[in-house]
Amino acid sequence: MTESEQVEILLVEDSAEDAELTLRALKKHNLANRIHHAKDGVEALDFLFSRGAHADQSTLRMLRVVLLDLKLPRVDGIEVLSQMRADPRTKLVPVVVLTSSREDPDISRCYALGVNSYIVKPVEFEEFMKAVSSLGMYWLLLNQSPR
Amino acid sequence: MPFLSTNAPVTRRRVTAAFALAAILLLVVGSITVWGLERIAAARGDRQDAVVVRDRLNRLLVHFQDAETGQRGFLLTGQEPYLRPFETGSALVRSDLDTLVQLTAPDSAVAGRVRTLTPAIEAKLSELSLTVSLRRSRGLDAALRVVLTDQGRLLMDSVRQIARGIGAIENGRYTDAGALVQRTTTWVEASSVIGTLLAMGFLGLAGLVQRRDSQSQEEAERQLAEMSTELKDLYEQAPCGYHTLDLDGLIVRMNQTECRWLGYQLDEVIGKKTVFDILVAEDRTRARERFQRLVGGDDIGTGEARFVRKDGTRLPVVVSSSVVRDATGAPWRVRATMMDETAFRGAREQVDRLNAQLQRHVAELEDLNQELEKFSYSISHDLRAPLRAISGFARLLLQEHAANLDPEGARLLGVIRVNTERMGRLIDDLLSLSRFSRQPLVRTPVDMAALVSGVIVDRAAAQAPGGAEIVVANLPDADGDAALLKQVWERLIDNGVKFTEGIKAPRVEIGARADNGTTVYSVRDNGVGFDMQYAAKVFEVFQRLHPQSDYEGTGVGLAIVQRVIHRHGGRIWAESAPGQGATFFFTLGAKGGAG
Repeated sequence: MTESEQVEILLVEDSAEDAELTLRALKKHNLANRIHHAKDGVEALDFLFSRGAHADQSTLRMLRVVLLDLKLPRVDGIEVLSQMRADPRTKLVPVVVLTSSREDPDISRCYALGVNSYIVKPVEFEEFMKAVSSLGMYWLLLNQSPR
Repeated sequence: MPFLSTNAPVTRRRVTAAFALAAILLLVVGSITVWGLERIAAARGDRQDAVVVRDRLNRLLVHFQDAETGQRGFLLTGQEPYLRPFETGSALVRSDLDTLVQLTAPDSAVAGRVRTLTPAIEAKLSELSLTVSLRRSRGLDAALRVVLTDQGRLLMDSVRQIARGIGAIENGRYTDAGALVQRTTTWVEASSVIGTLLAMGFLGLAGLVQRRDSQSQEEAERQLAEMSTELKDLYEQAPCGYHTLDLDGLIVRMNQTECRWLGYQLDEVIGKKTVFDILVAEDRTRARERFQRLVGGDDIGTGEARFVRKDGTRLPVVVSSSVVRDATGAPWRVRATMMDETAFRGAREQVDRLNAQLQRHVAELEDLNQELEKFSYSISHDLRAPLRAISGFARLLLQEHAANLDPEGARLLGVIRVNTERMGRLIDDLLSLSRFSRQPLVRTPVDMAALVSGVIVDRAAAQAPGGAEIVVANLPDADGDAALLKQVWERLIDNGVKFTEGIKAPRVEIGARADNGTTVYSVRDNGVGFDMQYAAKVFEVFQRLHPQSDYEGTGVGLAIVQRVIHRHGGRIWAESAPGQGATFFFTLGAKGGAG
């Protein structure tokens, strides 16, 4: 099993600072090594659908949740989300949207596209856990990594 | 007076009635007079009769006296000449009696008495004759014996008595007839005076009515003249051309506007030119066809035509024609209205230009709106990214390098974090302000009581326990956008709770009352309150009446509330005094109010 086959969390985030803060929050709880970080929508879609750099990998086996920023270079988050929902392989993968603001008008659009939850950045671990537990994935995520 | 209303038939009826009344009155007066005069004549005759009867009676008595005197003379003297008065008197008495019988025949009462008079007179006369013949044959003593029987005196007395009775009746007749004449004269005089006056009054009234009628007729005629002048003016000076043609197309009338357009004098056209003469040569055939079709009953609608001015230049017009029919319904004239096509087109172009301009403005406005939206969006993202970095890394510093920081350093980092969070909220509030201003308003019936209790339950779940006690009175339902109204309640309740912090027994009361058919909702707190001179500033963006350090807030919340209320077509206001708490009131506009 390749490293990417063990990935349980996909973080799609273009901002280096935001990504670092999110990763640090998760790292504290030993979840960082199961995270794959995609820097834009294209990378995210390649990873999800085993294309481009991920052509030889089957990445979806362990994937539990996608943390998706909406404002991304090249292909934006909404597009990623709608492609995921349109494809039977990713249709059921939980997606938590990362948003700059609770007032973001895109939140309602995301719900219309079938997003499961949202977190306001910067991502606090507690906030992350709240979103994850609302998806019923808390134990799945934590229990599989005894270290 | 309304135009042309004289109501002539009514007036005519009134005048006729007055005349008829006057005539009837005069007739009555005439009849009364004739009747009166007849009565007077009759009464006068009556009186005359009474005088004649009385006179004859008196003469009878005198003649009777003469006869008696003659008898006495003869008795005393025995001389025949003394007897003559007796003889003539007796004859005259008899003739008087005959006359009396005749005169009094119509009056039965008197005639009866006269009839009793006859035997009395005859008895007396025969007594007189007896004594006379006794004197003649046997001498004075024999005659005196008869006289001394007193029979003669008694007979004379009875005659006199009857005569007095008749005289009294005749006197009465005389007096009665006089009174009747007097009375009737008064009647006739009175009736003729009153009747004549009344008749004159009626005639005067008729005259007055007729005069008024003729005045109103004059007024109507004046108004008619005024109206026709006005109509003529309108016709002549209209901003469009008018002409009327006979069935051959000959121009029989044309208004000044069209004449001016064509550059002709009126008398150069009327009755001299056909409408085809003033058309461009190549259009004439077609125009004749159309004209025939129009007269034949087709609706040819509005068309374009090219006229030629007197100076040879062309005048394009838009013409609309119609047929005028006579009383039998046969075509009689053709009437046409025309607009100067260049002016017409000019006006249309103007409208088009303005429309285009308007559309451009609308498009610009839409662009601006979109730009604003993009701007808001980019604020939310771009402004937030560095803020997030500052706040996030400050937190990391605090968490992971706490050991290297002295307490002052930790405090300073805390200040940084608090302020970045505040700025985040500020940006959020600004965004929601712009969102609530643009978001379409969806009006539905809203259960306000349920909405408010939902807000309170959410608050209780989200906030730490404690804080003000919130009391809700009965709230009538409303018509409005439930999502936006939820924001209103949330922010007003937040506001009330916020300003009761640190107050003893903090309390926020939510209620409603009816005012002139409008529901006024209110949120009252017993908090710090504010000075009413700043009441208007409460709702302004970024306007705070209390220091940031005392009460948390961005100064946008009440601005959002006001925006939402105004979008509902409602009103919001506050009443307060420092230390007395504050009450916020709001109304919602009626259904279909400003959205």
